[in-house]
Formats: sequence, C-alpha cells, structure tokens
Amino acid sequence: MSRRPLSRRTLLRGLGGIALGLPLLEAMLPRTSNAAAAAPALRFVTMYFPDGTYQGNALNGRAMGAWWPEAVGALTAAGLPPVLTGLADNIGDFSILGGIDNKPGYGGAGSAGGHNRAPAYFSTCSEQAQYTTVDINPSVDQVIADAFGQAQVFKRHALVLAAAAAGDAADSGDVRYCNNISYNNRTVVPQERSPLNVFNSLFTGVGPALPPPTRDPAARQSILDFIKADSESLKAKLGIPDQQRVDEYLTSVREIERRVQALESQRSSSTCAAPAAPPGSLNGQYQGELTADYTQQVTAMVDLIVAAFQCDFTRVATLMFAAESHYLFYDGVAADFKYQSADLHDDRHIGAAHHANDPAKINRLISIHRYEVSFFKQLLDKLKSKTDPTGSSLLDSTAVVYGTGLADGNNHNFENIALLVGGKAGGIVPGRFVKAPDGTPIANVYLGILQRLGLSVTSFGAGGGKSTGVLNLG
Amino acid sequence: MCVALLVVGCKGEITLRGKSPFPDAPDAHCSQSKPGRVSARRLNNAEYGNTVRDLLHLGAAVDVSQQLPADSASLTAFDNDAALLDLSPERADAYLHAALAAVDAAWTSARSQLVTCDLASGGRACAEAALTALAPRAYRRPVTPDEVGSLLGVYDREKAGGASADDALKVSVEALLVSPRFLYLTNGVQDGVTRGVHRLNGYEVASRLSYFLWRSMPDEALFAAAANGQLATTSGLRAQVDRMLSLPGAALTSGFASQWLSLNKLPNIVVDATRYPGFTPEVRQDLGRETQALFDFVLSNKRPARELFTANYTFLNERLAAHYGVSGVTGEALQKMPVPVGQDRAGILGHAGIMMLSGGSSVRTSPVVRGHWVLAKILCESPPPPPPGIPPLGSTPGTSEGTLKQRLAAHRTQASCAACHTMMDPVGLGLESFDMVGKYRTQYEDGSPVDASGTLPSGVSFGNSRELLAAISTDKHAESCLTQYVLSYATGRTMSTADACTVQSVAGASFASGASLQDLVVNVVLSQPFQSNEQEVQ
Repeated sequence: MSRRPLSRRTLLRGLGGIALGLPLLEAMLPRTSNAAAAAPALRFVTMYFPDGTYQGNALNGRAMGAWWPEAVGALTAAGLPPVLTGLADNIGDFSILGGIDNKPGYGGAGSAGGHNRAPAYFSTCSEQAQYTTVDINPSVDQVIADAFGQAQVFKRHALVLAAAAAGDAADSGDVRYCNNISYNNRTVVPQERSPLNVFNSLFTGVGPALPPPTRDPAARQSILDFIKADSESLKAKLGIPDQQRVDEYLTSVREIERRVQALESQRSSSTCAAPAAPPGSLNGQYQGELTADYTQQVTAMVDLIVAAFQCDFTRVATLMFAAESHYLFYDGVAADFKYQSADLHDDRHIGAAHHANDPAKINRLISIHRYEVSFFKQLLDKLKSKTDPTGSSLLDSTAVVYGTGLADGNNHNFENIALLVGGKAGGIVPGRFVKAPDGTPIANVYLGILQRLGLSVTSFGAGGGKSTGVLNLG
Repeated sequence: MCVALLVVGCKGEITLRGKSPFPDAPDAHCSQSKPGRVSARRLNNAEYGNTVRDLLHLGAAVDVSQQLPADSASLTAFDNDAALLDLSPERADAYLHAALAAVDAAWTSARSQLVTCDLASGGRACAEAALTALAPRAYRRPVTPDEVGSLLGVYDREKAGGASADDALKVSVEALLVSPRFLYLTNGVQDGVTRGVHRLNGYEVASRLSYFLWRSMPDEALFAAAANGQLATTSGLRAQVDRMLSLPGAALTSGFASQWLSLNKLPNIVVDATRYPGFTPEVRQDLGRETQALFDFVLSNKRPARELFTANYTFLNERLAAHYGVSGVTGEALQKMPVPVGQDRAGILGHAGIMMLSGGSSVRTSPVVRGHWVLAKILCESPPPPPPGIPPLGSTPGTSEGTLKQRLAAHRTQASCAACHTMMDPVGLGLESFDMVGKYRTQYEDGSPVDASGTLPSGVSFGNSRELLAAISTDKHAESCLTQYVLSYATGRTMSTADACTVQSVAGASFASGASLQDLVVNVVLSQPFQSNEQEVQ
C-alpha cells in the first residue's frame, strides 16, 4: 500500500469491503501531528425518547419518584431511582439532572401545550413562529455541528437518525415538529431510519437497491460546475422567492463540493473500523407495533454512531427512539409492555404516557422507560470501550444528552423533565445527581455543554426558552 | 405569507348547520380574488422516480427514488406541497448518486431510444442530437440553444479529460438529471415573468396536469397539446383530462384519494387478533382497495362526486364479503356489489377500512377520535388538540363509569371540553354501529346495545348511522371540503381563507346537478389557482 493520501473516492470504495481492516486504514492516520490535532476532538450525541414520563411517587413511595435519586451529589448504585437501576454499572459515566424545564412549552402561539412541539422545544429551546409550517431556530446538535464544521470538514455534518418511522400525531399543526429534533436553516434536517442505508452511505457511499457505482458522482467536477452555472442562470429568470428555493439546492451542492475537496486532502485522524453491515430487513418501518427486532434496530443505530465517531466521519449524532405522539405499541418488544386501555384519551396518543394515574399503566410506562434507558447504557458502554488515537475512550470526549420533551405525558406539562447527561467531554464531571433550581431552562444545560465543547457562545435558545445562565456540569 | 388555513377550529362555526363559511355572492367576490402563490418546488420522491423512469424509458421495476432520503410528511398537506419539499446536502448528494444509477440503467436497457445516431462515428454532433432530443422532455418545455450548450459543455469537458464519447455523453445526461431545471417545477421562466400574476403557458399547464393526474412528466400527446394551443382552451383541457384519466398511468386515486383518506395508514392499525382471528393481512389490504375502487369507479364512470358519500354499492371480493358478512361473492377480484343489506352503510364512510382508519384502538372504538377524523377529512373542521391537564374520564377506581354515551355526555358538561366535543361526539357516536374493524354491530361485547342515534349541533336528529351519513353527505361543507383538498393537491399548496371564493365557486359548479367527480377535476384545472400563479407575494 502506497503512502500517498487516500482520496475520498478511494476511501469510499475501499471501505465497501468490510473485510478491509487496519492495514489500509492506518494509511489514513496523520503522518505528523498538526495544529488541528492539538485541539482535542469532542463529540455530542442526543438521544430522545418520546412522550414524557411519570414523575409521581404513588407507586414507589420515594419522595423523588421514579426518575431522581433521593439525595443530590455522587450517584450510588443502591440509590438509583427505579427507572435507572439498569445503569448500576455506569454510575461514574453519567449524571442525572433535576429541576430542568422545557420552557418554550409554557406559552407561545397557537396550541402550545401537548406533545406536538415538545421535541422541537426540547432541542431548539425556541418558540416556533409558525405552527403549520416549519420555521424554527437551529437545534443544539446542529449548532454544534455547524461550529465543528467551521474548523474541519467531516464526511457527515451530523448523523440524524430515527429508530421508528414518523408518527401520526392526532393533533393539527405540522407533524414535523412531532417527528424531528434536528433543525437547521429554518427547516427539518432529514432523518435516516434504515441502518443499512446509513451504513452504506458512510462506508460505501451507495444505496442498497442499486449496484455499486463505478465512481463517486459527487467527485465529478464537471457535473458540480454544471449545476452551479445552471442554477445561477436559472435564478436569473426567477422571482426572488423562487431564487431562494434554487439557492437551497445551490448551497447544498456547494456544501458537497466543499466536503469532497476537503476530504480529498484530509486524512482521517482516528483509528477506524467499519462495523458489520446491519441487516437490510431493519428499516424503521414499524406498522402498528414495534416488533422484536426493534431492539436490533436501535442497537444497529448505536453501533453506527460509535463507528462513525471512531472513523471521525462526524462528531455529532442524534437518535430519536420514535416520534412524539406516535401510535406504535410496544407489545411486541416485551410481554410486560402489554396493557389494555379503557380511557377515552388513550386512543389519541400513546396510551401509556396518558397513564391517567392508573397503576397498571404507570408500571408499563416505567417498563418502557427502563427498556429505553438500556440503549443509553449501550451507548455509554460502547463509547467507553472504543478509543480515539490518543488512547483515551471515546466517552471521555463525548457529551451525551438523554431526555424527553414533555415532563409528564399525562398532564402535558413541561416542568421538571427527565434528563441525563453522559460522558466527560471538555471536563464534564459525571456521576452525580445535579439538582438545578426549579425552573432552570434546558437551554442552560445546553449552554454548559456548548461551552465545554469549545463553542464561544453566551446564550442558547430564544424567547421564553432562552438560557438564563450556564448550568455548570464540571 | 402567514395566512390562516381553511380549516376551522371549534369557534362556534359548527358544521352540519348548513351554514357555509364562504361568502354568499361568489361571482362578485371571485373577480377580485388572487390565484395564490406556489413557489418553485422540487419533485417529490414519487414524482422523481416516475419522471426519471418515463424520461429514460426505464423498466417499470426501476425506481431510483428508492435511494433518496424520505420526503417530509405532514398531516395537513399533501406530499406535493411546496412547503414540504426542502433540500439538504444529503439530498443533493443522493440526487447525484441516483442520476448515475439511472443513466447506468438506461444505458443497459434503453440506450437505443436515447441515442439514435452513431456516437462512434458522429461524435459531438451525435451527442448534441441526443441532448437536443432529451433536454426538452427533461425540462418539460422547449429549450434554448444555451441550455443544450451547457449540457454539451459537460460532454466536451469529459472528452477533453480523456473519457470516451459514450462515457462523456452519459455524464452529460447525469448532469441533465441534476439540473435544477429538471428537479424543480418552475413557472414564468420561459416568459420572463418574475413579478405579479403569471398566466401559465401551455407547457406549464401541461406539467401541472401531468403531475396532478399522473405524478409524472407529460407524454408526447400532452407536449403536443401544449405546443398547439389546445391547453389554452376549455375544451382542450377537458379533452386532455378525459384522455389522461383513461390511461393506465392515471394516479389520482393512488396519489390523491389515498392521501386524502390516509389509506396508506391502514397497515399501521393495530387489530386484536384474539378478537378478530379472521382479520388477515389480505383483508387489511383489500379494505384499502375497496375504497380506492369506489373512488376509481365514481371518477372513471363520471358519476357525481357526492356519490363518494352516498353510493349504495361497493366493491367486494370473497374475503371482503366474508368480512362484511355477505354471501355470494367468490374469487380474488373486486366486484361491484350492493352495500351490505341492513348495515346502515353508504359511500366511503360506510367502508370498514375507513371506519378502522377513523377511529379507535385495538380495544374499542373511540367516538371522539372518529368524530374528529370525519370532521377533519370530510368537513374540513379540525378541532385543536385537547388543552393541557385534561382530567381523565372515569379513571377513579370504584366509581361507576356509566355507558360510553353517558360518560361522553358528562365530558361535554365541562366547559373546556364542550366547545369541541359538542361537534365531535355526536358524529362519532352516530358511527358506533361499526366496530374496530368496521364490522356492523348492534351490541357491544358486554351485551349492551349500541345506540347510534343523536342530535347534531344544528339540531338535526338522526336515528342511526345511515341517517347520520346522509346528513353528512348533504352538508355543504363536504362539497367545499373535497374541493379544497383536490385544489390543494392539484396546485401543490394548502388552500387558505384567501381561496374561499375559488373553493366555493369550484364546489358549486362541481356539485351541481349533472356534474361528475371528473367535472370537479376539470373545474379545478380551469380554476384561477391552477391556471395562474402569483410570482411574488409578500
């Protein structure tokens, strides 16, 4: 193997064969350290579970209920709340946050309450100007990806994943607010639901339904130049609003060009191993209920995030377990998730979240939460077990936010949401129950993380969701 | 740009009262109304896949749209709504890959149709001929020499880089497939109209027609009609609609009706297998086909649009007949049959699939959800979501919950609930004769009788589901609502209050005595929002 730099094309095609291992990949390691390598690579993951949770203590007699320890300070395995006992082996790797509100939910135009905009509020900390079309501030993951992308070009700006197909909000308004937590340029960042498609695009650059291309069309400068010239000449014949639509395309093509050119001359700076290809049967298209392979589906996505980080294809990822207000039943995942509904409003949204204080439903809801938390544990474990080129674990350079946009799914309120922060990126100190003053905006948490990740920002969010200070996670 | 949707909430503008929210004197008002604005928009994935296939003469099985990221979905807009069709670097990258795959596939199976000269000997002139033939079809209008020239420039550049003539032509066809002129539907480019109201020219009308009725590009006959001025006349448009709907590629049922009624959501509905052991995936699929068949029949047989709501016939195969408890139907093929006798059914709202879609869990039907669904889909009244902190009904252990009807009545005594539930509940309760899988019933599982009688907010009383369906079918809102949905789908934008006059005028003509569902399609095509576009709107 020659030591000449690998082009993106070679990289894309070479990784198509999973059997190709480190001998090739070592060729991409930097020969000399440079200034960029001096700044540590930092990473960010959001995991979103839908529909809020249950804060009460009717069932367990604990003053702090199902999600929070009884005492602030260092976590102990014995002191973990019922939802989180599965994290007993990880108590040094994450913190539990309390007192955090998803503030934009308090008010705002249109029908502010309810599930519909909880994910968008959660990730943007902004009230949305319009309810029936997407018009929204960038989400925290995109702010971070934009900042990281300024310093270095990555193969992916960010991985934006959803484990299950978009939901069917029964409510009016724009369903995209239910289905997405990633927003940029005042629109939705498309989600990917097929692990195999993601795998292929990351590791071979081609979709599964068609034969591998003989070449990478994005590296064909004649085509890129044609699109740019063609778009400019078309724009000259359009009115201003239509020019903006064509500009969306033009901007996207320029971004592709920028990435291709940068990758042509840039070496990967991490040890990199392609994961096993996920089965094509996993596609996130669940009909009616989540089936047994949902566990495999989410696991495949966790693996892709870790592998993409290892290869430094991106440093930002989001994963939504399912859309807010989805109609999927969890019966197929585990027997104790089954329940029978008799409440009138159960039909409108996910039944268990509207627990109506029925003990059977609350127990089922907690079972589902414990199941969801197992994927947070997977991510922590896998990040911890993989190392970056400096030999430290990926978890040490990553911040993971795990949470949901509604506080209590039954009451549709936004006060005291369930929120975990994993990892040690930028000196975050995990292993604690951090009880913020009641009513602390989630934007304060993000601001703390943004600063730990090296962004020179002093506020996050807008309107009622805007940060009021920095929550120090160090 | 922020205009109220033409979907009213529970503001006392209660439906089924016979009172229209639209102005009383449409003609005077309509003369001043504006066509509204549809921005330049990209093809959605379905349109893209169909168009690439038709343009390059690919086989029916080839669908390069499979490797594109999914389009955004919205509950309040069709999948061709310009507002949904945004573009990201990931999508642009996918277009580049899809173009490569499409051209590879075309060169395998259809090169002789795309390159009719001998490229080896003809060289650049042959490439130019091929591109000159292809570009107008791709851009859906006559092209300028410059437009062919820039495609040929790609050919030249590839040739200069050492590519063979064949490979250079392939790359220039790829370029054509990623040109914004191909990917976007635009208006006013040929005529240089960037401001004010633009009357669409023949080619622009042809594209609107073909994406409305076919979800693909125009064919040769439609291009010819654009060129010879036929599309500028009412009779010409009528003839094209007639022709287009009769061809196998017609996709109004699959493109419009399926989205309007959310038929694609049928597979997602949970059915309790212990309650309904005979409810197989085949039956589920058949239920969607039944509703599509009725829409198809009403459309292609030029039946009145209202028959969608009143038809005393439906389409059954052996499985569906068994589902409905009807005898005498055998085989796989759907056959036109009278609606099941004694089951209070009529039109699409009497279809078991629609009753499944409209409301309920796997456990029982929900009159609230069903009422909400019917209001939104059939009458364009969309009650807002419930307020925060809803007191759960009947959740206190040990208390008597009463019948469903009594519990709902209690619901309506609470002020915060009443505004919407007085609209939703009677409609949903009136459809209680149909269970979770749309089967007819006279009693619940516990043996208590079904009471599907009730009184609408208008004061109109009904004794059973059939009488309720009759009341809905004669409501003026049902006419304007269907019209509004068809207009939205045809133009690619959600109708707003500013379109009320157009909606009413199209509805009036299309639901008049003697008019058919196809006339509704024609009247939509003839309407101002379809024929014109505001190039800029503040």
